[in-house]
Amino acid sequence: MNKKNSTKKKAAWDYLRRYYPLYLMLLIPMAYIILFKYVPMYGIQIAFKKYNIFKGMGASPWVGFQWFEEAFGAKEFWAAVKNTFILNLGQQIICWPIPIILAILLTEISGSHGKLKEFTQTILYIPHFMSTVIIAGIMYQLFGATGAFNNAIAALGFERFGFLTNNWSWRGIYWFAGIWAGTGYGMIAYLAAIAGVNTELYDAAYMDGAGRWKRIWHVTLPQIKPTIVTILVMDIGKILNIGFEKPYNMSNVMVKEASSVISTYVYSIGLQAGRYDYATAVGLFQSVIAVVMVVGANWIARKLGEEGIM
Amino acid sequence: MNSVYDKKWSIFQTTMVLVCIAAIALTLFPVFNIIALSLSGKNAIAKGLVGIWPVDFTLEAYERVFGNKELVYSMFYSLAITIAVGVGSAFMTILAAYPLSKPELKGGRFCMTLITITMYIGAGTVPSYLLVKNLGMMNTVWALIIPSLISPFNLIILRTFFMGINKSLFEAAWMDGCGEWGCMFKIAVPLSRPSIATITLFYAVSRWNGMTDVLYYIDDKKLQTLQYQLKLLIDSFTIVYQPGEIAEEMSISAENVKSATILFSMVPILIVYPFVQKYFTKGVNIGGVKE
Amino acid sequence: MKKFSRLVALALAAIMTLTACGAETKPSNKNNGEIVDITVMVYDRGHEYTGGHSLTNNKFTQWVNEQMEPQGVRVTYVPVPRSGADDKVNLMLTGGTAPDLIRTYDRQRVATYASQGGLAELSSIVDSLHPDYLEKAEPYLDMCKFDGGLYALPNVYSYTGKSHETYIRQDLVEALGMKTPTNKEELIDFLYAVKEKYPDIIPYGMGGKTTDGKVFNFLLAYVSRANERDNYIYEPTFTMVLKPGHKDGLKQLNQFVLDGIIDPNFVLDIDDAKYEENVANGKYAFILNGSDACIADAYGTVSDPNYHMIEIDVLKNLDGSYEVPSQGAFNFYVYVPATAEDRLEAVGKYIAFLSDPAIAQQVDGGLEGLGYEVVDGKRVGFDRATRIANGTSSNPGDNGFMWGNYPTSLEDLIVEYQKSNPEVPADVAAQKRTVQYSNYYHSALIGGALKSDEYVPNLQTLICEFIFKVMSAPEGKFEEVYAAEYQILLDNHLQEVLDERAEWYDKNIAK
Repeated sequence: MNKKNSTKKKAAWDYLRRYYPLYLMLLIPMAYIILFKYVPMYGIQIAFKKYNIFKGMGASPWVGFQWFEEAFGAKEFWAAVKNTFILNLGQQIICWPIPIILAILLTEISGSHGKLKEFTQTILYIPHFMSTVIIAGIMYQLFGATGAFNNAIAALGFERFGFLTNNWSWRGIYWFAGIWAGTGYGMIAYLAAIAGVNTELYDAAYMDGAGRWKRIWHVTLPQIKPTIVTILVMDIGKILNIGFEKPYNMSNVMVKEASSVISTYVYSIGLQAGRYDYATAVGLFQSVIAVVMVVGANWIARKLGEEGIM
Repeated sequence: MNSVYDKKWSIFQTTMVLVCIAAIALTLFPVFNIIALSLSGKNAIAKGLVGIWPVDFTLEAYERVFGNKELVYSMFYSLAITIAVGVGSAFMTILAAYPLSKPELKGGRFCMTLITITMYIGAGTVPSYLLVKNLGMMNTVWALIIPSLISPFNLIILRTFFMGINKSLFEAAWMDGCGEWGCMFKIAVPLSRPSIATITLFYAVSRWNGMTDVLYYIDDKKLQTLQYQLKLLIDSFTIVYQPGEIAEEMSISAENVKSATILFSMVPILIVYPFVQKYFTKGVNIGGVKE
Repeated sequence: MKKFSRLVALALAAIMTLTACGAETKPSNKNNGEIVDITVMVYDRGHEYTGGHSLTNNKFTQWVNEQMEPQGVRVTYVPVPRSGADDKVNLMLTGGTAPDLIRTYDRQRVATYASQGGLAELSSIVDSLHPDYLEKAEPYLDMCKFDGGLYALPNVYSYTGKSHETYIRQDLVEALGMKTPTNKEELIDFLYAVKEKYPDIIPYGMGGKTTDGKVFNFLLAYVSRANERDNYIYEPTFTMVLKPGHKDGLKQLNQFVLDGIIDPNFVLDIDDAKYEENVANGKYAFILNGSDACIADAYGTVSDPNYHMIEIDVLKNLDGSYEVPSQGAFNFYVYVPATAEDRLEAVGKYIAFLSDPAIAQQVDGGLEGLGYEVVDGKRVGFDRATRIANGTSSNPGDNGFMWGNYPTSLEDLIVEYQKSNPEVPADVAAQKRTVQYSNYYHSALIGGALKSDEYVPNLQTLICEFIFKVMSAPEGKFEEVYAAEYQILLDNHLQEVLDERAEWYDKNIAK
């Protein structure tokens, strides 16, 4: 017993002697995360309180689950949850593979077109800097009743269609805008991953007579898989998180049934009426779902033999 | 890189060139429109005559932006803090990502979970404001640098990259007498240049374009970032907030200055981008233990 | 691992005690016997000052302090960005760093702050205010009362005009051989005649921005003001357009959309960009709007040499008068946070100072000689560049906390309009001002805070959407769309809002 204890102690001591620099490195970043991310989380308590900004969070009276009951009882809330889910899921399914495919294909462009490749990357990166107001403007010009797309349809002899006033086609345009604005930026992490692939692996594959597609399939993809999985897992957690600006700016009154999402709901019911406690409660609901989703996705990823993100 | 093996002109190459050109056109058309708007006269803009070429050419918007001493000052100031945030954040992220990429680190998974969760649970504006205030950072440049030092997203990206590095490299370095610090700076960091370049860019972009923290934490004009001052400037004559408030009369159109400032916000990052890109196109040899 | 978590917990607790107390700390305030320091919010609009001046230290702020010093008050200005001002002030209130005198347009905020006990009661100040101000403000003081206390003061306009105005292409009226329409039936005839004869012109100007009342007065032409109780139920805020009778107006607007009198795709013009472009090109024959770009700007941009847009009275109430709602003399709320209670007297002196019309005139113009000059007894304002070069406030109106504008005559308003819009023909300008400042009524007001007020901001947006959707109803589907969309308003507490107002009327006015 005693001996066992001392060997255990020794093992711990050896471990520490070997690895203490790693803990030293972690010290500052972890202290930072605790201070700047966790300490302010005491603010979440206002989801269960009637928040009075003058009394402060601590002194505001508790209301239990009142805000949650109010939200869960409102049909607008569930409509917003549904719309958020549809928009994000579609975005995920459609927009997730495109940067990967494009990043791989772009790196496949041979040397003589290297300049074109670099230029394309730079240009595709630009929309990331445009505000959603501008992006919405571009989409409305493209898909409006007299927009370029409808003009083309009319020129082909078909009937013009109200793409922006139909719920499903509006969603499609929302996703398209996501592709247009996000592909260049989304590609960067994959480009970095591809750049990190050991060139010897390609040499070996080439020697084995593997063609272009085979090399992509057997070398590039497996090598960047950790990055792909990592980003996918992170994104799955965000299935109910949605920014305010994009749906708000891209919407119009005819598609309100498809475009009112959680963030716009919180704005109109919570923030606009100065109800920070209510807004926090809805935010907490989103957070809980997000954590459940990301932990689940991570678990699946690990079951499938991937590293996961935690 | 993979592409070096196929030098021949192929259908694939042709298709890719066409795809590139289409993608470029789709993106550049609106950009040209913005450039043209920034160079066009008020009336032409109002009547919707501006496409991709300027109408009633004028440089007034640029004079307005560059003729303003405070804005030019704040451009250099913003560049300085953008670089500070880029470098500082990258350093902090490396410091966290390296140990966390070691599977043998006990408690690493717990730390990783702690960090990841912060991506999904936000604390809210008010407590963050109180924290910054109580740390005495209100109205100082630190309020714009310190609260955004580590982004979990970037940390996870870099950690994934570190984990992909061949373990034998570290073992060899360890044998050569390198400590963990040596392994980090001599092996992990040089081999991860593309990824480090990427996250530095991500940090820089979000600092350059970030505005809400300036609104909340900074009153002193000298400490406000360029993007924020440009926003104030645009707002001052484009938004009529209430019926009683009158927007500024201007010879140039609001659209015109707005377009100029959009370009202004993109240019510095677009200048930096090719340098970052260098790492993607050249690639890094994460080779074996060559003697 | 366990140890680590315990350590983390410990550190967490330590830091939390460090930070959590923030909300309760009050800024220390020392009354050093003679001079009391107060802080006053001022909008930061991003203007660059020159000559060593700044937004918070310039000839205007120095002048204020010269005036206030004999009264023992020193004023320091706190810049708050115009855009996001309310959010920033909210944070400052939370952190106890808010200025002592604050302004907002947002009624709901004042109501919330007052009910949370965060505002100073201002009854003690009222008596010291200038009688001219009190006379104007009197009808609105009740609106500033929450839970029985006076927790804000109204900023008031000294003169008011119509909130929405109607414009018509007089040249088209004449070219069609018609006479200027004098009621909605004649207006409708004119719009259809334009449609028939001028395919390039869109008869009725309409955009898709949901915050604008381009149909406001048109709908009011289908309702009556005869029933006082209804006035009190519907007229406060945008619910006004839901008065009994509005459905006929909506039906007509829907017909306009179906017939192409209004652009059928107007809802897609979400930011009004197309609408503004059409205004600048003179593409509309009739415009109903709160702004006057179709006169102020369009005379400079429209290429048609015959373009002759004028402001007219055309839409009559069901009672037969041309009166339409005024912009109201109420402008915004001014309040004092409770943190400034111990220097309320000093803040009161500053408020009283601003309530004097003679002072307000100086403040509103940015000081005589620096921000404006008086020529032949008429005030002529300098432009912004000159004001900044002179070292006064860049946007002097922002400092007028009590008065929204300075007293003036119709004649002055005409001259001012002609001066600042040289491209507009002088007679058009004169007619515009004359029509704008006549034939209006002040909407009925609820003098007090109602419980259902919190639903109103959201309802305002929903009412706009309701109107747009009903207007866009497909042929033969009007009733169906109307019923469905009205239900959305009811789902969002419309009836509660109306009922509570009715109750308030029965209790306070009816007897």
